Amino acid sequence: MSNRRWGWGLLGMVALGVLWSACSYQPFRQGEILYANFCATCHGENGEGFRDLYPPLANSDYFRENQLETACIIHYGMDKELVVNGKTYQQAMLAVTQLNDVEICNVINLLSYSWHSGMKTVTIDEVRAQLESCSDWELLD
Amino acid sequence: MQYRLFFSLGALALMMFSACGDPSPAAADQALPILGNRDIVDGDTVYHQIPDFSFIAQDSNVVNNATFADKLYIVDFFFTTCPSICPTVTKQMLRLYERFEGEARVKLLAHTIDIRHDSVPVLKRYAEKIHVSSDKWHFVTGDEEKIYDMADDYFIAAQKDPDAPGGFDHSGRIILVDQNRYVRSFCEGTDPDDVTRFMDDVQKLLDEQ
Repeated sequence: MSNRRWGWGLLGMVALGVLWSACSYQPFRQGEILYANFCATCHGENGEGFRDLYPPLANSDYFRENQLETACIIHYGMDKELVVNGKTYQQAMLAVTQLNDVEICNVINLLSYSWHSGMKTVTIDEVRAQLESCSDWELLD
Repeated sequence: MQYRLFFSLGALALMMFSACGDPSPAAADQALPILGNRDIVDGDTVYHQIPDFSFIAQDSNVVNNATFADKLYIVDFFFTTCPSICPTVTKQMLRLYERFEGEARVKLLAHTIDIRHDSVPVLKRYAEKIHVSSDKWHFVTGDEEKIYDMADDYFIAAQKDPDAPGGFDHSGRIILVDQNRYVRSFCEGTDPDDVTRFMDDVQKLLDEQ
C-alpha cells in the first residue's frame, strides 16, 4: 500500500517535471548561458534594459531591424547614438571579446527566438559574412 | 516512524537554514561600530578617518568633504563602460538612492576609476540616463592617484589591470561614512541581500542622529 502510494507520487513528480521542461524549452541553451554571463548584467535578465542607459534586447525594434549587425556590436563594441523603441541611448558598450562567431550566432538566435516572436534565426555562415563586412569597425575594449 | 523521520529532517533543515542567517543577531540592538584600524594616542583611541579630498562632479561642481558635512554618505567606485560588476552595483546604489531619496541627510558618492574615458560630460550623461538628481548622487572624477588613494581609505580595492574586463580591477563594495568621517558599515554591492542589510544600517545611523 505504502509502496504503491510512493510509486504514484514519483510518477506525478516525473510528469510535472516533464511538463515544466516542455513549457520552458528553448533550443538555444548555449545562447541562454552566454547571455546570462555576458549580457544580462547591463541589459537585464529578461532583456528589459536599464532606465535610459542600457537599451532593451527584448521586443527591440532596433534588434528586429538590425539582427545581423548585432554580431558586429557584440564583436567590436559600439560608441554611438542608438535609437531603440523611440528612445535615444548613448552609453558606450565594450566589445565582448570572449565570444567567438559560433557563440555570437547562438546569442543572436536566443534573442530572436525568445524575445522577438516570429523572427527567423540566423546561420553561422550569415554571421561570419556579417563579421567580415564590419571588419573595418574600431575595436572598443 | 515516517512522521518522526520527517520531523527530524525538518528540524535539521531549519537548523541548517538558521545557521546560515545573520551571524550576530544580538548586534541588532548595538550601535554601529567604527570600522578600520585604531591607534591609542595619549590614552585616547583614534579611529580611521576619511582624509580631505576634492573632486569634480557631473555638473562641473566641486565635491569635497564640506559637501558631506552633517551628512551620511554612501560610497562606491565604478566606471561607465565597465562590463562586469558595475551595472549590478549601480543598480543596487539606485535602490539605496530610491530608499533615501526623501532623506536630505543621506547622499551618494560614486568615483570613476577610468578618468581617461569618464569625463565630466560622460558622467553627467550617465547620471541623467538613470534619472538621478545631481544634488543627491555625485558622480566624480579628478586626480587619478587621489581617486585610487581614496579607494584605500574606503577599504575598496581598485587598480588598473589590462587583463580585467574593461581594463580595471575593483571590488563592488559599498561603504557608509558618517558625519565625523568614520566608516560605519559596508556591504557587497553585488549581493542584493547584503545591500538590504546595509540599508537597515543606514537607517539605524540616521535614527541615532
